[in-house]
Amino acid sequence: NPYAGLVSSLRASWLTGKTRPMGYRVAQLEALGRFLDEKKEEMMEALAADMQEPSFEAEYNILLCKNELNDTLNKLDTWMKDEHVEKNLVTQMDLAFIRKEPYGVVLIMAPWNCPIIPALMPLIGAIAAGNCVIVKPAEANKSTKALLAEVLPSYLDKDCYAVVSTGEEGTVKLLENKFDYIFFTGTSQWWGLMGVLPGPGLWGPCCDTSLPSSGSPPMGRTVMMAAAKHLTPVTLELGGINPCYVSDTCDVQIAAKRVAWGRFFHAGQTCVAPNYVLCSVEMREKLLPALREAITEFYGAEPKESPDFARIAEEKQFQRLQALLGSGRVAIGGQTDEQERYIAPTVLVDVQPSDPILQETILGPILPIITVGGVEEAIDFINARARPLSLYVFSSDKKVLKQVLEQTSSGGFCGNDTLMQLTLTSLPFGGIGESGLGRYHGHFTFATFTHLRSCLQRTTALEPIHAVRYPPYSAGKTGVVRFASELKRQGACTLL
Amino acid sequence: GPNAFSHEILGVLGELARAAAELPKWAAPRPAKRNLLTLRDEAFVRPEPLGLVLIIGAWNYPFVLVMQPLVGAIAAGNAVVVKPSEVSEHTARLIADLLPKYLDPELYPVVTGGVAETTDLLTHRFDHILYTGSSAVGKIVMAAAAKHLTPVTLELGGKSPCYIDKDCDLAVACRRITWGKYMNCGQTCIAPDYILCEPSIQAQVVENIKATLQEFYGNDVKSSPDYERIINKRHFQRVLALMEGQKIAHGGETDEASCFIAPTILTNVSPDAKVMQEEIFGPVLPIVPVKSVDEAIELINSREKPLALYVFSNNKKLINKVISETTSGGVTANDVIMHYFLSTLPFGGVGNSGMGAYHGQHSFDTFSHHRSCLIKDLKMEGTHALRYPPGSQKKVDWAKFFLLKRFNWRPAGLVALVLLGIVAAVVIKVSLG
Repeated sequence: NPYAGLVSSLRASWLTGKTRPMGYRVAQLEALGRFLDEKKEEMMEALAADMQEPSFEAEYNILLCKNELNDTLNKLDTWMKDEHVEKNLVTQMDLAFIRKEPYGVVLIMAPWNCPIIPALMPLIGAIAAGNCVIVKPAEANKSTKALLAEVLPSYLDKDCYAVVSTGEEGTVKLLENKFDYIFFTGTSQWWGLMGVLPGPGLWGPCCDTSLPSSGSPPMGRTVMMAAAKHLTPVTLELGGINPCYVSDTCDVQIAAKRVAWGRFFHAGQTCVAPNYVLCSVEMREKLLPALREAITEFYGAEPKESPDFARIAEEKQFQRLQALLGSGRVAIGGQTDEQERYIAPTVLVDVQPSDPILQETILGPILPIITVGGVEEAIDFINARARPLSLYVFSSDKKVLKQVLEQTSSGGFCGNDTLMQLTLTSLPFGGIGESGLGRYHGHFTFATFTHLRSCLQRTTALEPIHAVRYPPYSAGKTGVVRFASELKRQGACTLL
Repeated sequence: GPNAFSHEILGVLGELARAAAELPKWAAPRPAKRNLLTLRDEAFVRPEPLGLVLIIGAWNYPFVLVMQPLVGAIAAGNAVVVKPSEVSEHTARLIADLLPKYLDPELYPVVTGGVAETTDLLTHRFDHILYTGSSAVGKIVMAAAAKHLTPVTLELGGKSPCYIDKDCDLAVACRRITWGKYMNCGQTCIAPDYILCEPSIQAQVVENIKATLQEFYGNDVKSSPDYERIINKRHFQRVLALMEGQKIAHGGETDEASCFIAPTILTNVSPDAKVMQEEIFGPVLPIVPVKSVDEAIELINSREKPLALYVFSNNKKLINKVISETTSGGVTANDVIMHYFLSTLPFGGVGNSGMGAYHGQHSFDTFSHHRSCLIKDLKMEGTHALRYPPGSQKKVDWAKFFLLKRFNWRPAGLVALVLLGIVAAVVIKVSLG
């Protein structure tokens, strides 16, 4: 177990208690802030090298991280405070509060499609909550990974924070260690090109080890199964096949812009991008030219030459996406260039529900449009599928928004826009079912990495009052206990 | 008898009353604070049912451990499969017979059975599983849940330490410890498992507990109607084995036929003894002498994180030190068990003693999905234009203005900022349009 030494040294640091005082956490967070400021250029270069990330998008990523950092630093003292709770009759004289405690040594795993935010945002919360942390960036983003592995540790206390750079086999070994929390961003699906099956050590004799014959087991599940061996709590931020319903009553131009922006931002490689559009045949006829116009406005006549359009992060993802272009018919775009791992902003039509492109999270700049009769059919289509990470509805009729919201389930929901629900740190970000469990952003990141310890501080005075609870029992004593602790249903009193 | 009523039923009645009274508040959408860019929008978190919940109960408090979670699961709008423990077979049968008479069995079915049935149940997909029981089985439940990415709440066990400081009202402390340790014949997940104290007070602790046992159960414990028995022969043998080779300061009598084990105190127990390696879950109380509170803390921290931690002292600073330098699911100072009964305190473990928590509103939140919602309109496109490509340094600077939190805004500053923001939006629309 190559990482046992690292994990146990971090645990030894944890046991000294040095990460717990607020002053220490603030110092480390401020150091992380300096990393974001001083190494901004290097980060943008690394992102550009890995996936030709446009500088605006790179800045936006860093901006969102800085936002979290400042929010955390501003509010850390409030977040760390004991939370006093309402008491009942029996505990009136006591101190009753919830103490916020770190878990210990936590592991953060970041995905290939979005190397910065899912690595650094949870890190901010984990440090703020007082934990020791190991960050494992995705292997695919070579330059970003190198930057995080080589430069970030020099800003933070190496006794308590580490960055581990490793591939699939190493990841499996890393997961054999006991962590006190695991935060994983990735997919519930794992495209079966890895060829690495976790050995029996990971699955254990208690688990059914029958694996799907079509390749490696899904990564989100692998992480949770590894966590189960040590009773480690987890947050899994998984992908989602995010639906986007565009109703007949909406401003098509603006809707098209917002949908196009959400789909093609970062060349479609965000877990919250709209995965497919549902609309009527009439709306599709209006939407296509509007989308074409939006794409041209954003990226010019030749998106390949635009500095604002990214590339696919790695070869095997490019291959996967290229294959998906076979679904339906290309209405806009469709061009690819393997050398650059370029896929043009593409819109597909005449897609069938059973087509490959609708069976997985696309994570690429391809937008299938499926036609439905009306909002009820759209809702049925959505509900027939796994619950997505995000759900989008465009309509100027608030009733339609409400109807879809109330009759579906998803991690999060945004009406009349895409992606923007992520920019509000007061909204928790997370999935449900196949799209994940747990949540973060803002205060929720701190809460994720915090154990809520219930504390009741009593006095040894007033002992005679407690005598009612001691044996020998009697009906009389029971009566008193009942009186003292019973909550009657309001409005349930009878008139004498 | 009265024991069952106060320990099991009363708690459920309280939970029901609270849920009925507060459900409108719990279930209402929770508004979220907005930033400058979203001031005109609706932002809220909507509690929604998760779907189908599985509740697996335990045998030690067989009624409350399925009913209390059930209240929360129903309140949150879920359908629920209730699986009471087969070990407490009478209660299981009662629940299976009575619940369908009061609740729709299509939505709240009761499943009875043992290991085979539970294993089969766990192959199905649920939207949340709440399990109460041992850490060993907890791992199996979580592994099964992992196959479906099902979130879990695991209420497990451990050895809950109890530190008694020299400076405390020893008579009261020992009475409360006796109550918590020997109720339900020691078969309580948050019973004080073992005592840590300085050698100088060990003898007095034993004397006080003996005196209290006399008060509670009389001269002949076996004939007291208020003293329970061990659940079955298997656990009887298990607890018996833990007493082997130990110095019995009080008690030690057993009767296999009735699974009776007398309230027992062991003294001068070593941390390496067998009785200190597993959760006792029986009426055997080891006292492990320690030289100081620091040694006690070190011993506690060298072990798995416990479900509960107890400390008795008149010295507030010492209590705070013990709490700050250890961790556990929950804490009660100067008493035992009682943090369980305040439903505004989330009840759960950490590490080996569990994950997640419930009781009161925490149950509702556990069994809900908190769905983030942002409702915008299709207006004010000018301000949104700054995020669209083609990018520019000007756009980056505007984005920073709208999004970056530099410092805490005072309310007056926020008003000024809103006005400035509106002006800015107009300016942007003009300059980029």
